[in-house]
Amino acid sequence: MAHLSQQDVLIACSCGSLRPLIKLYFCRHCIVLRCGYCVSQEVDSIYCSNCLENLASSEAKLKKNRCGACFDCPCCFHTLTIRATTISRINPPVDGSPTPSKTSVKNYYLSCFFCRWTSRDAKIPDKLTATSSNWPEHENTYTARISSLIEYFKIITLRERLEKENRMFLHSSRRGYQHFSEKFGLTAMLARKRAGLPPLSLGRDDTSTLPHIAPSIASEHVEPLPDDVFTEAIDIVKLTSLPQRFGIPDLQPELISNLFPIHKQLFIKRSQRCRSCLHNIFKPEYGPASIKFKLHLAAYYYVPEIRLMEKIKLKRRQYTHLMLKISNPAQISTQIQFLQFEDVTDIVQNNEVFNFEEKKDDSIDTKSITNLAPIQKKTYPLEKSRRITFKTNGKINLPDVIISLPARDDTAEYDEANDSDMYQDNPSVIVWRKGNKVIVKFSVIPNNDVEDNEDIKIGFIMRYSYHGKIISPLEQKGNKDIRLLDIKIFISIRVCISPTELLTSGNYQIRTYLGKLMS
Amino acid sequence: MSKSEVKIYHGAIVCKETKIRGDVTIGSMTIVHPCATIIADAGPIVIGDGNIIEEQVVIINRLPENSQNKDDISTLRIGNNNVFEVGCIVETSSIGDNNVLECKSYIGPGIKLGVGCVIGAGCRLTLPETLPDNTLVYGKNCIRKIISDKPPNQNLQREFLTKVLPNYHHLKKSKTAIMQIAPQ
Repeated sequence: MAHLSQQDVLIACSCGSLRPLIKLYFCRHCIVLRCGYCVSQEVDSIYCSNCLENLASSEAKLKKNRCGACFDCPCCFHTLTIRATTISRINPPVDGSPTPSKTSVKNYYLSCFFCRWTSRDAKIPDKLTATSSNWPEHENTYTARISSLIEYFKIITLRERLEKENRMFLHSSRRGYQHFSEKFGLTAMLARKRAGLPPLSLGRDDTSTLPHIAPSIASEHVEPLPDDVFTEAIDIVKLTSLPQRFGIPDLQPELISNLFPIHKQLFIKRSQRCRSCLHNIFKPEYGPASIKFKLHLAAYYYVPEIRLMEKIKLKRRQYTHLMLKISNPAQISTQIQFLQFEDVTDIVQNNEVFNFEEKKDDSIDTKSITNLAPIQKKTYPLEKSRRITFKTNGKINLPDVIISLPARDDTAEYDEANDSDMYQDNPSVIVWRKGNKVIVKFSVIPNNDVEDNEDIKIGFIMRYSYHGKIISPLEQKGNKDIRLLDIKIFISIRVCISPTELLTSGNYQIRTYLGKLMS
Repeated sequence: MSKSEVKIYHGAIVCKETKIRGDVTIGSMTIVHPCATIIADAGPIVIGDGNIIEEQVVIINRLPENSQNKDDISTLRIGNNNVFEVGCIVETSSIGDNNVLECKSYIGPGIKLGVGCVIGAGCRLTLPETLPDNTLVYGKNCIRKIISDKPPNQNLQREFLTKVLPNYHHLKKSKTAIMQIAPQ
């Protein structure tokens, strides 16, 4: 897992936030990177993570987003399990038999396997059946007050919505009113409306229908402290911690013995949608037990992955070799080129860097795809792109080559043959090649004003060819669409600068490296 | 010290691969897995009845670092029906009955366990003290509390292991053929 969540190599999302590759999405339709900030998150299903029961959103709302059957430990917040014990009971002797008969009864109680809290600690009586429902609930003393407040505010929201709709109705002048006038005799009112006058009150004053709520009254009366508060030693083992108290907000017990099982919080399955083209980019399967995805446009399936190969030691005023392993995750081969940030503006104009066999089809452009649903677009405010806050304090020398990487092939891993002969690689740049992976040699120099033990941060642009194959009504030809995508890569090298240490030769590093690979 | 000093009482299951060194007594119905290590350097180790000592468990009666005196003998006494789960390390001098030492827990020298204590997975106790009965230590921060429940009975697990372990491992022969009550 550690290699997946590596934070050394960050990629700039289209919105400007920096994320590792595994946390990025890739919208196939806009052909840009998206991150969790610039997609719209939608709730697909609500379920309990313990019993995997699927709940409708209204039902979940009614149950306050908690599962009715499963409980969390109030002490350590792990899931409680039902445990059985056998209790033998001595029956009173029946007429005729001199000895009392023994029967064993199974009793069930809730228990936490982590902190060994049991429902017996809360003095909840054991149950005779193993069914997970019908555990006693504690009654909140303020239920009536809370429900009356909720009722009150529901009416207020309803009224505000009505007012809003009325206002909209006022402004829309083209609506027919004939049927109204016939049915309710509203002609006078409509005439007023047309004249731009405020509508007459219908006589029914809505404020009178609001339920009466008693405002809460502050009280000066505070219960005095118990007499032994200053004399008794505090037993910390018996007191609850703050998280435990806030876990049960309506009780907030001070003693461990007063804790009460908490209903388990429900989980949601989310799907992500691109905000600009409104296509789903990430959609899990609906069932709570399934861990598969219907749609899974993660960036690590589309963007070549860059990985730091080893820790290096940088020296002041000296170039040090940096090995980056680049692998192509896509099913189609790609070509990669590296650019400095400064270069990009002029290279974009001169687009003949790559020589593709197939010509780029100019009839398809991204804009026409993004204009698919202009009406719905209003509901998704686009994320304002922010400035990339990554200050580089080193310079990287990029090799001036175009690296072609073949498609990912899972069987290639077992292939012993060395296919590096198939490519005319410059051995001073490409150190190693196998399948869809390649190790490229860069050189890095820190800026002169860098302090000792400071991370060296470098950045560059990886331009790669993306073979999009979107079957959409706009693309009737089904042509292979080749684009050049620029991905901004930021690498922080967590290596201290040692001004005193001697320069280890780059060649030596490569040799040890290859040795490592061979072994 | 030679291996001949190992005393295994009748009914105990001790696998041949188990590393046992020094003067070790293992009570009846105790089960020791093949990869456990029991080392009695500083003095004898006496293990009572019905304990389960799982894989990778290390029980050491170690010489204190500061004392060079070899005559300073102290006995490590372990009571009955304790469970030493996978990978726990015991360097203490006294363990009572019905304790559970969960996976990868560590009990340093000078910590005395009473009855019914549970040391949670990964918890490390290093300062010398005596834990009161039914103490539970759990979580990352080694939070303590007193539990009302006894640790669950391990009879079923013990019976199962008694049946299964001899099928796949050679056992150390018990030295005393006559049924004896293990020393407490």
